[in-house]
Amino acid sequence: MRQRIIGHREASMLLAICVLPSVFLLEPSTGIARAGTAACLVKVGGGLAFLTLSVWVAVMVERYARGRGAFTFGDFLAHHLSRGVACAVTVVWAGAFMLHLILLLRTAAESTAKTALLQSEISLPLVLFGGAMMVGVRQELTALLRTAYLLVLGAGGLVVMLALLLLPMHSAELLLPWQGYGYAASMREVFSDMGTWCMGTAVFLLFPMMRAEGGTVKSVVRGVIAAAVIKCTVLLSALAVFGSVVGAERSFLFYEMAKLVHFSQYIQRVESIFVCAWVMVVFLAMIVFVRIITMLLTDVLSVSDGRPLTMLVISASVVCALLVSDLASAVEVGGMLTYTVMPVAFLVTVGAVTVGYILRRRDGDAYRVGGGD
Amino acid sequence: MRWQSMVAWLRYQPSEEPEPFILTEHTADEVSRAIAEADRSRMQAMADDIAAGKREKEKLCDGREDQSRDGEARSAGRSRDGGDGRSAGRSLDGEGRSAERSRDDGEGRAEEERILRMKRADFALREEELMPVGCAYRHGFTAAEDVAVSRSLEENANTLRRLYHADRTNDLKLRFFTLKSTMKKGLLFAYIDGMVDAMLATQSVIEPLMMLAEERAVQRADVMAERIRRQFLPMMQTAEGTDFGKVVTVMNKGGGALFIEGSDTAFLLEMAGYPMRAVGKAQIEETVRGSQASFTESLRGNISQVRSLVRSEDLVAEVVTIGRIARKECAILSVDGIVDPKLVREVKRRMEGVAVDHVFDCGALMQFLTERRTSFPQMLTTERPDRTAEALMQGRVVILTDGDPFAAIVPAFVWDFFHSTEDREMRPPSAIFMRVLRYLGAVVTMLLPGLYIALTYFHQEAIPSQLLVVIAGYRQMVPFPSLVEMLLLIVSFEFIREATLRVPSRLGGSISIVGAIILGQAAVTAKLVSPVLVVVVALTGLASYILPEYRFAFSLRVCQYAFLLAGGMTGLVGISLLSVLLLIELAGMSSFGVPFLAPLIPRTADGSGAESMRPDVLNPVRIVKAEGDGKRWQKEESE
Repeated sequence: MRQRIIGHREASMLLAICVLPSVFLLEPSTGIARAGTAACLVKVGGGLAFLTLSVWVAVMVERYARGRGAFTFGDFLAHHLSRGVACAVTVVWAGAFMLHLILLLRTAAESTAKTALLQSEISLPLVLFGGAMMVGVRQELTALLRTAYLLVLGAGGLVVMLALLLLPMHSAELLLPWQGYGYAASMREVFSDMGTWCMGTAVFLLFPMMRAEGGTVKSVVRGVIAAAVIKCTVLLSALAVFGSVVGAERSFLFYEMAKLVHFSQYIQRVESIFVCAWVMVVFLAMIVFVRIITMLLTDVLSVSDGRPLTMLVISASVVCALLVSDLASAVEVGGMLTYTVMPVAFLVTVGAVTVGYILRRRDGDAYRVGGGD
Repeated sequence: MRWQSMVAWLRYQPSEEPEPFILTEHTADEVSRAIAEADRSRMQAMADDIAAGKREKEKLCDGREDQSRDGEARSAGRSRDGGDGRSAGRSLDGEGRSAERSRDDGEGRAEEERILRMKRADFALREEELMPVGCAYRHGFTAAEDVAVSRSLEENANTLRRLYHADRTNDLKLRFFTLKSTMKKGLLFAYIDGMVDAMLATQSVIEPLMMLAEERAVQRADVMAERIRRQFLPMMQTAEGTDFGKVVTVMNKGGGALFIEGSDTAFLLEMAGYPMRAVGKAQIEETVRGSQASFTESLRGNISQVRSLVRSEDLVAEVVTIGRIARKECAILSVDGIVDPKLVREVKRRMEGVAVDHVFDCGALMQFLTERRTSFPQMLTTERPDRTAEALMQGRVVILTDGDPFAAIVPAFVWDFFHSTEDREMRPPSAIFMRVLRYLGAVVTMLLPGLYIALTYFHQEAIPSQLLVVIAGYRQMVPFPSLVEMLLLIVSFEFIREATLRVPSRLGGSISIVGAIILGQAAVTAKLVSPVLVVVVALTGLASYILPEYRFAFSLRVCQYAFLLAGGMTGLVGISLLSVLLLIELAGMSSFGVPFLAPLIPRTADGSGAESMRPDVLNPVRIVKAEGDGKRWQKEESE
């Protein structure tokens, strides 16, 4: 296994690109439906919870990595738990990423067919995305993350620009707490909302192979902040424009907001340009997901070369996305996965590693510099 | 005994080197005379050695006799002391044997010499008979590098004739002449017709040697060669070669080779005189301000142009020869103390690892030095010495190829392809404006046709209503779909562009007229294309000319077709996907290990804008370029 050192910007963009795609799709409307006007606060709360636990995992992983050469996340888990549990956890996370990839593919294809390719069937954008992924996935993960850096910056700029262009339509009173379910009631959603951040676990899953130059903690903090800024801007703007009621009813809020942009007689109906932003981000995220799944499977199956697996993963994801009957099913499955399964999986993983860490520490053989398993 | 003698002869090495084996003419008689003469001298030396050995032996025998006499005295003493007289008898026997042995040795030596003489004569005859066969064998199956320079001029001439295929070509010139000396030693001056400066060769080589004064002539070839080199070759660049690999390398570059009879070293004289272009005005990278000089096809001339700008002893020009058949000299230029030594090593490693038969220019060389196959150039090329010098001072490496008026600068970043030398001549706001214009030009070149098709096909709502009406009005009359219409026009534009490049310059005007009238006016009148499309294509074409780097602009034009097809088939979604793929491709590219998108990503300190720093991503040894902003006079004034 080859170990790579990547810049902390690339590492933080790995986290950002994994958690951002949903913000251009269904996450804003789902968030508003679950928390009302407090959606933005819930988002921040969920982000903080994820950040706290992530920093703890990052500290443990970095301590473990001290003085060690290349290793996988499976080795790290096996050190704290057992080889079998490590395999199981890796498979669970590979499965979680695979499910997310399928749902993302389906949602992206559906929204593309509804917004950009109006006369086409769902299979065309699906095949289009699948084919493009096969081309893009050939590149090194470093190249993907560098692209992510550019795209996240660009998408962030576009989001801010959208918010500014919609400034005349913003109504501050739509943000007031009594428009939704109240802040106190909404705070219960913080745990569930942590699920929208859990794809950021990719930083730890790939950490052994892609060590961040400035440290994982720094990368996690920066990545969460970058993603939180974009997510909160979209949520606040959507709430200010649509309010909690209408916002919860619409599906693709980002697109709906872009449709409202009207700036003189020459800049009107520019939603197709904003569509480009989310197509790019979502597409890149899907390629990154494929690479993550492949790397995890390569570790579990102890395969030396994971390239044949990429084709398999892409083909399987396209076929499975076609099997999903409609967008409502995708939303339902996606909601359950994101808001229920992912937070639990994340907490269980962190908890197990922590217990292992404590037990090892009690035995006195944890994190010896240069020590083996 | 005979066998031992033969081995002794074969192993025989005279203590002093006799006059070298010289062949002045190659008739059979002369060869045999020369061999016989050499044999005589060798035999004489051998006989002298034998005589010396004999003398030593005699001395040894004398010593033994003295010893036996001493022994006798001792034995007598012992007998006086009660010995049995046996020792006296032993000493007498020993004396008799010693005398007999010396007589036998003398006879044996004479017999041995007689046999040796016979063998020598036999070997000489065989050598004479086999010499042509041996020469043919050596020359027929070995590379030039393996053939050593012979002491025979004729053999050297034959070797050159064989190497240059003199039976089929006639540009190899061999000039035999004789030194004005008591030995009348022959000289051979070999060169390729048209490659050397004939005047220089006559005045600096042949004339001085022909005028070599008699009293200065010496018999020993090596001493004479050294004297010729020191006193009679008024050339700047002379080298010595002992094998034909070096000889032909110099001759192929336009040099001459001087062979001296009896010497196994050839003088290699650089006197290139083949036609070369003089330093002229830059043709591709013309600028309004700044230096107007451009490189030529001469490697040395180009290096000197760079040296005239970077006047520092730290400017290093390492020469590497590339090409297994057509050997081409390339120079790796760098400024020691600024450039990262690892980068220089890497460039050299790659260049030395180019295993091809020929590389004629910088563009072809680039194909063998870059990491991956992509349509984007990974090395910056320039014909301007000032831009080259600027790159060197930034900490980059420059590759110059003999016969190519372009320098390759490595590593290159994508942003370098938008820079022009003129930018430094202008104030920052103007330079920034120009650069932004070039970035815009690149986007328009690549995306405009595809965007137009995508918007008109899939996203009409994004087009302002009035414009949409105009487009629709013109589209009504055209029978083809917009995509076909666009492809028709773009391909026609490429035809015109290529035709303008290829036709003689006098016809260039007529091509432009044909293009403008036929394509611009007639096609619209015939309702083959809509006027809006003509505007789009013309704008795209113009934008592609804004970019200073021709190869980069060409790559963008290739991408233009991909974006056009993607936009025509899947609208903005296709363009977005292709953009991401293109970005990934660019992000994955590197130029000699340096990321292509640096210093944007991975983010490093940029040195292009700040005059005080060199780009950090180049890892220069000396990163600070200027003290502060380089205006120390301001500090002095304030103090």
